[in-house]
Amino acid sequence: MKASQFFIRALIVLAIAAVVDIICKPAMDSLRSASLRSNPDNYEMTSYYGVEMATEDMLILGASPATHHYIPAMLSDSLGLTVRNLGKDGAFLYCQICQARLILERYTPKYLIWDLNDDCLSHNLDWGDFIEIADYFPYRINDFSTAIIKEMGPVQLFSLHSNLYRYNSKLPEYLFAFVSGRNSQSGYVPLPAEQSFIPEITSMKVSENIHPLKARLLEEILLLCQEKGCHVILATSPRLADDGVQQTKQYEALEEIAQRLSIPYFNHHTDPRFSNELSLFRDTDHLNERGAELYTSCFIEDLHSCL
Amino acid sequence: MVVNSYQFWIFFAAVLLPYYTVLRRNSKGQNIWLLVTSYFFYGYANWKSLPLLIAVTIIFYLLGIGIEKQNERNTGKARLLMISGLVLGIGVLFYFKYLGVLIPGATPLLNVIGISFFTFKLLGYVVDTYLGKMSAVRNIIDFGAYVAFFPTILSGPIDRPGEFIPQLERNRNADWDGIAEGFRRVVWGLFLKLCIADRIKAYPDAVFGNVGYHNTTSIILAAILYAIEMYADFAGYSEMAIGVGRIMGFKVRENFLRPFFAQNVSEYWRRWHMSLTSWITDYVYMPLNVAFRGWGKWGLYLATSINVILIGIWHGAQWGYLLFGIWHSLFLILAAALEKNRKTFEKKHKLKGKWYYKTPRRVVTFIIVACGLVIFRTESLSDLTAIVSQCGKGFGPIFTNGLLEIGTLGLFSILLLFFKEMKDENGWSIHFLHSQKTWLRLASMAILFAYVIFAGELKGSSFIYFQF
Repeated sequence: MKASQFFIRALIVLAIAAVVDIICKPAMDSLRSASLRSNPDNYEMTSYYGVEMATEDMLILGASPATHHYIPAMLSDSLGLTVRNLGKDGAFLYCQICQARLILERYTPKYLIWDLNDDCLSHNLDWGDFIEIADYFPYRINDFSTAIIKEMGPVQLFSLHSNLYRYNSKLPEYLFAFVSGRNSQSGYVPLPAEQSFIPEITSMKVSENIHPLKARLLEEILLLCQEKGCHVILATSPRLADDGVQQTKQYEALEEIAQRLSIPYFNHHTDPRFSNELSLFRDTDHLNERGAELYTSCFIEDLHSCL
Repeated sequence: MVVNSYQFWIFFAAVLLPYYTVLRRNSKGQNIWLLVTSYFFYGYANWKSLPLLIAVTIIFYLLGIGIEKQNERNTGKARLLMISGLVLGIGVLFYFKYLGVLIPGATPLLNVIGISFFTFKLLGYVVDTYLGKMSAVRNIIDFGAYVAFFPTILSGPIDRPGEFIPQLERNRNADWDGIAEGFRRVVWGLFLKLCIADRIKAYPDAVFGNVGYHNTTSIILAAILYAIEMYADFAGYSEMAIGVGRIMGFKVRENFLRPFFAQNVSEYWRRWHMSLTSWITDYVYMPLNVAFRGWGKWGLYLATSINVILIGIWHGAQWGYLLFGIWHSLFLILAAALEKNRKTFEKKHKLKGKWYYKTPRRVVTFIIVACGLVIFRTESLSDLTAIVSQCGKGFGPIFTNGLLEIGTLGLFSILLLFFKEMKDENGWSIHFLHSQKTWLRLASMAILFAYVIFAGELKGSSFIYFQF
């Protein structure tokens, strides 16, 4: 083969890949829409439901504690509002901010309950901080998301020009939602009562230092919510008391932000009603179904005090 | 800088540009460039190990020349020099890899990556030179480039000096067919690594990481997936290393030949990590076999056991690796002991080549291999005991975390791999990446590449064999 032949063939390969890339977007968008319409209460659809379909008065945002600790039905009955839990396992702060931004672009909920982990502002950055953001890659990437994606490295920004990359690994969840049943209660996923593992103290050490970009972006999104007329309530869910985590700096920073913006912040991290009750927990970070019911009741009392 | 990272491809493009332009008519210049870039690559991974690599390269280079000179003079010192080389090479390997086992609590000065691979290259070189299988290399640049060849230094394949060094001595003009073949192998390697190994690894990690919480059903599934993961991970790396080598104009040793189609454990070892197995067979097993020939079949069994146990502990100083070797040696001895009977049985019933005879044998071999890899994975005896005792508790509902992705993208990719291997094994004349039709070859390449981006696990992870 001659050099010219090789390069022409290489171009043909790239051209075919580009065509596949172009076809990928409408095909995957159609599949997602179909899955979302047919099964909006499927947990796999949580991120997409928030961006495309949510119209509820009150939304709950956060990572896994949000998913497993806040029961929309109880909140709804007590407050007389429509409520939806949009918590997503492993969705750390950057992802939650992306989610909030995309939701606010479409509509403004009356209330936003934002469950923040005790290490949400941690200085440590790893792939876990970003991975769930991939849920939002298929949507338009706005300036804000770009700022976050830049943190992930220049290759990410470049890769997002490819539809194939934006829809990477999404097929299983779209298909699963399409063929499976409802597996959440308006986004809330209860956890069974038996313990999933013995809490390990050493593995829970995280940096106490505050990541400046995380703190700034959090403050900006909270301000945006206020500008749009959305009432935000910050909260931290209970954890087991002996899990070795004492993120005092993190809480101080959260409290400081909340105070500065006059936002209520309910910190139940070391709430004695929970933190010493092993029977209420599934593991160190997550309440089981019974714990979630108790916590939601307590949280409703908090809400009554500030709404 | 792993082969599946963008940093590697930027580096590789920077290597190729002068390699095939200003240096294309100058093999010496190409080799100097190859040596410099290989040292950069190795130093980038761990610069502290670089002086050691350079030092052992120089010593073995001098040893090779010394051995050859003494061989010519027939003084008998050649043997002494060869043994010195072996002692030095094995000593370096033991110090940096096994010190903690020899002296409990002791730790080596450095964690030297790729040490198992480059020391075996060096050991093979002094033995081959001593035996007169090859001439000593007179050009230290060529020798250094062979030892440090960047596509293979971290995880093999282990090239033989007699095959590789002559390739360094000739000019390497751009062979566009070879380059195209190299890219095909790289993309196939990416598919194995990203769409299979990394896609399914979460399941065995989760099950074996918390084995006390899992039942036999989940453990069996995890064992099957782990065997596939190991193969896809290591074969994926090997494909990429061979492909990168091919793009640079080198033919690197093959490392895998559809190992899960082996019909017995002995055949499996002729198909799995072939560059290591053949190295140990040539340099350890054959001499041992000769040494033990007076002991009859027991000598054969002993040589076989030592051979495969060495392969096990080559991976490191862990109980799991030793037990892995012992596990395989048991089945190899069994296969050797029953070979005559098996052949008679096959002949009598005309079973050879029949699918209904081959398939169950392949399944049994796969089960033995998968169990062996579970042993390989364990770090201690207590880990292994925990797995066995947990299996004793019986079957139950399957652990489902991660099964969604494995059951869709992972399963499809595994079926694709299975189809390709099946076709290659049976010689079916269906070709995609290697089709005679140009359009089909190009379309297959493009679609496979697109599929890797669409379905591959792109979070980034290292290769299992980097630790060895």
